[in-house]
Amino acid sequence: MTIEARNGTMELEKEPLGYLLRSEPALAILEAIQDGRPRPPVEVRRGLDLHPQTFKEAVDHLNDFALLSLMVPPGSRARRTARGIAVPLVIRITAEGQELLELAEGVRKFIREEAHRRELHLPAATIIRWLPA
Amino acid sequence: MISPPVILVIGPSWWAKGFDPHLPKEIDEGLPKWWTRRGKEFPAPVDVRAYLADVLRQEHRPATLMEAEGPRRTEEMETKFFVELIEKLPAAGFVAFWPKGASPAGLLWELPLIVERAGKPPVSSETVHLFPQEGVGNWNPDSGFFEFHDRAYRTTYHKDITRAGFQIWKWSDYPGLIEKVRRVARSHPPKVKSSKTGSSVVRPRQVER
Repeated sequence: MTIEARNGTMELEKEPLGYLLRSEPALAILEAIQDGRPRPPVEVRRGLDLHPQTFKEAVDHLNDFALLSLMVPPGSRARRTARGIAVPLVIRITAEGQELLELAEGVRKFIREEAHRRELHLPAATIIRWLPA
Repeated sequence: MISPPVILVIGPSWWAKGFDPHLPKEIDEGLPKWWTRRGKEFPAPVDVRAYLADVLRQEHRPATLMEAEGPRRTEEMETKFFVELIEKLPAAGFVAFWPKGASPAGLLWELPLIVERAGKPPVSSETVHLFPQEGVGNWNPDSGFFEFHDRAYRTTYHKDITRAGFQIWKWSDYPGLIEKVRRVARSHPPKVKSSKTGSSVVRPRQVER
């Protein structure tokens, strides 16, 4: 399924930074693996307490944007299953993922600081999303 | 012949009988000038691989496919030619195109050969990129396994395909595949940073679902 088909939106979803700023799970996943070390997806998902489907959709999106790679670790063994062949996975942020994450964190920091400096009266939903207590 | 090191684009050559891949015009009309189309009614998988090699070249990543390399003698064994090719060309990497509607038997034969023979420089998970189309396989967030749905071609030798490790880039349609190949061509391994806490444990974070 294409990114567009999954979301019903066209242009925004083709733009990785827009997606990253809009998707809390995606941002949290990249933050959890930002040190560049490969990790088993189950460990990351449980650490973030995300629903499996939410986690999978976010990882697939991040993989679509090449911000995160699905890797079969060296030395692992494929195994036979009822449907075919299964291979163990780890997930790892890419260099582009690290750069975009830094940019996204900068954007969030700027919004927080600017909202405080200008004492803006923001909608409640915006405060919850961008200005956590 | 292109100068090494190169990315070798591997994968099937022909569609299953009667299969229509619904390829976009972009591929049909954009086949590289250095390649002669093999598919009759529409481009064959080998033509798509030539297109992908050209996409990589546009991203300044020299790339080729076995069928574009030569000259070759008619009596030469295909396996021998492939093995000599991956030994002769210091491979910068391998892009494995795995679409629906084409037999992966050749690809599943080539992957272990790459792991075994292309040891100069050693292949690693950084250099082998597998592009399976959605439907060829999927991953499970609970088990942490990627499953290739193809019982017909599984053999005991397939346990070897994972020995060197590889990266998986799943795609759904051809424009998405082309874009993904471009992104992966520009992509680099991440900088490994020391953890702030010194622990590899993922800390829970409140996430709005």
